[in-house]
Amino acid sequence: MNSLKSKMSPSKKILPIGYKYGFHDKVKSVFELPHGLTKKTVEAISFYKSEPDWMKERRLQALGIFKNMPLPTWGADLSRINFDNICYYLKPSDRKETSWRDVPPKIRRTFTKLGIPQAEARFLAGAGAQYDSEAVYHNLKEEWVKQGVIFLDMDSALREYPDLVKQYFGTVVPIKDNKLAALNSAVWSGGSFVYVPKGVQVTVPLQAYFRLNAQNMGQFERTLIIAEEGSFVNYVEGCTAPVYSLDSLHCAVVEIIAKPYARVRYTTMQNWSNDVYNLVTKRAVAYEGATVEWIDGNFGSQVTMKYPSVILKGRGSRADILSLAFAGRGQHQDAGGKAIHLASDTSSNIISKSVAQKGGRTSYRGLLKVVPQISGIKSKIKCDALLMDAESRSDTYPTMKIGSNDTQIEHEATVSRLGEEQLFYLRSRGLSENEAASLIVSGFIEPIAKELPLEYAVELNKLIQLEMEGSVG
Amino acid sequence: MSDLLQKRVSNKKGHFCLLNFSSSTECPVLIKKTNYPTIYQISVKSGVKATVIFADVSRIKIEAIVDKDAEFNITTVISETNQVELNSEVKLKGRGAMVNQNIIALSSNQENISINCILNHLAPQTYGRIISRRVLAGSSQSTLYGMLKIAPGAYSTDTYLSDKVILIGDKARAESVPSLEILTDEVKASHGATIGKMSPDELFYLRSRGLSLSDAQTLLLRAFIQPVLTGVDSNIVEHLLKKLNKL
Repeated sequence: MNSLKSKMSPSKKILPIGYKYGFHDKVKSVFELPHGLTKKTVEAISFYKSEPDWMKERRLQALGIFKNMPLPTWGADLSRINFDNICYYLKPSDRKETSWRDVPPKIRRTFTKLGIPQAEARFLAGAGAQYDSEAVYHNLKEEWVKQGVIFLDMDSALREYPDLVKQYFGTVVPIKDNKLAALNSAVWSGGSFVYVPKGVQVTVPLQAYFRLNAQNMGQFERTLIIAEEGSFVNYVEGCTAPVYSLDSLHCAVVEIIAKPYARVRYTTMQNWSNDVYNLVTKRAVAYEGATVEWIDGNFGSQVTMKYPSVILKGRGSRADILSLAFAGRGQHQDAGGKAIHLASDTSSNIISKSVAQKGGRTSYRGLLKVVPQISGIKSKIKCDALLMDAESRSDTYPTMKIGSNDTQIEHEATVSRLGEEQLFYLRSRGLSENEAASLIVSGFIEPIAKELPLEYAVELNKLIQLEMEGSVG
Repeated sequence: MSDLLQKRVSNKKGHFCLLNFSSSTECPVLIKKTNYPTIYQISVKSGVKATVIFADVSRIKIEAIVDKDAEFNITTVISETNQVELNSEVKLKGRGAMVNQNIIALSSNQENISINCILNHLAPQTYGRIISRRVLAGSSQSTLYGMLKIAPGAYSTDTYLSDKVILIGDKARAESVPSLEILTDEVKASHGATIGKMSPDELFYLRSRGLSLSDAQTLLLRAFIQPVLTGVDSNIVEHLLKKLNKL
């Protein structure tokens, strides 16, 4: 049996230990910048991209702030990140393709199990930077352009719409916000730029992987979404398939501006390989009557710190944050959400679901703030954690700062284990222990899964089945 | 009281008070109006049931250890003092140990009340409750940090924290941070927090039954603090109700 197994996965030797779906592609880029972060690195990045001066200045200013700012002392342990041992820029065209044949059979099997079409799987596996959806993309693009929607990668947006970018870039997440946002501001590359004009409803979700030539899943991506008055857009990023990354640090910034009565929904599902530090600053501003919805799923990675936030700035604005975290062996998922109420009649709703298994750790960390002298505030926060075994750990750290008395604030959190009775019942109906456990977990995360586009929800459930393999008994 | 070993020590670092419960007492130990910062080290021995009530203390630190099958009830009433800092850590050290911690805070004006309480479940089959009710009027401020910790191996533990705040004053501010750190799976652990004003619907109902606005308010507030009044000396309850009338 053993010899058969080893025959089946010839690539096993080069697999990093502990990452089920991991594989290496031997990328050697000619234009790779020397490791480490100096003024020269930043200038070189800016030069490669032929950026306007203001952006270069911004990057340099951010670099200075990054150097002087301490790492956050709360949350996950970040002391092991060596900022001098990271390659900060790789010219996209130099990213070498791996051939599909080189992709380990195990990964290919994972893609098959998740039901991802081969063309897309190739792209995700780094085999074929061109994901073959040109026809679909083209038609959709024409429609968007007709409506005046701009959907580009950030680098192109800066070239083609410099004024628009300059007006909004960094207005939601300023350079000084935190050390990692400063780092991103200094070395950002890739990410998406979305602009939806007044009153336009984008009915088809904008999916990051429609953009062919861009680096969707860059290391320091920067995303900016501007929804003008009365518009609607649903932006979908990432996927449940494992994203293999050579980079040990992923540090992104996402900014959303929802103008009066606009509605923006941002959906992320990410599954990083097990050595990645995933440290992301996501923030939105909602003006009068606007709605911002974050749907955020975190799988994989070594450490994730991600707290999608909404600043409710205009009267009657609304925030909805759904956060899902799944931690396995050696992983710490520190996720949550923040709602900052600055105006009257605003409401927020945060739902967090986390699952920890095989010694993993999940933490909910959240902030709810209501400033003085506003009224009619409603907020509801609900955190549920599921522990699959005795080695795993779950924490809840919510903070509520309420400065106004005309409020209605509710918070509840529960931590529970996989119910033995539920397991027993399902097993009595003929399910295996594994099937039963993953069915229970799927039920547990259902409130979030049902908000996802259908194909994502299906993939999510399959991914959970995969992650849960061998977790019971 | 003969079974209670009580010792007071004062030195340069501050005041210490050691309370050692080695057999059960029906009568609660009442500690009132301490104006100087004091550390209370309390130990509740195996199988003992003990109750301690702190009333109108200003700056205190409670370090309690609860042994096997012991039951420890601790109530803190805050209604008279301006600056309150309450720090407590209760360690449930023996199997089957139980703690009920109640906190009542009524503040009428510029008070600043900071509460920090930790329940540390170190042994299996332990039971813990923290129930807090805060009523904040005027421009008073209050913070509660609550932490429920369950150590690895402390299975079959049942722990819960409830923090409810009513903000009466326009300038009153409340902060609540109920945290959980759970390191084992076979447990029941949860918390709930609500912050808001008195329900207008409930007030309206009571007024429709003929109560004046202030009577209706007092009645609702009384109901609000009722869950944390169990076991509290009737003199103190009387006093609290009088204070409610004035809020």
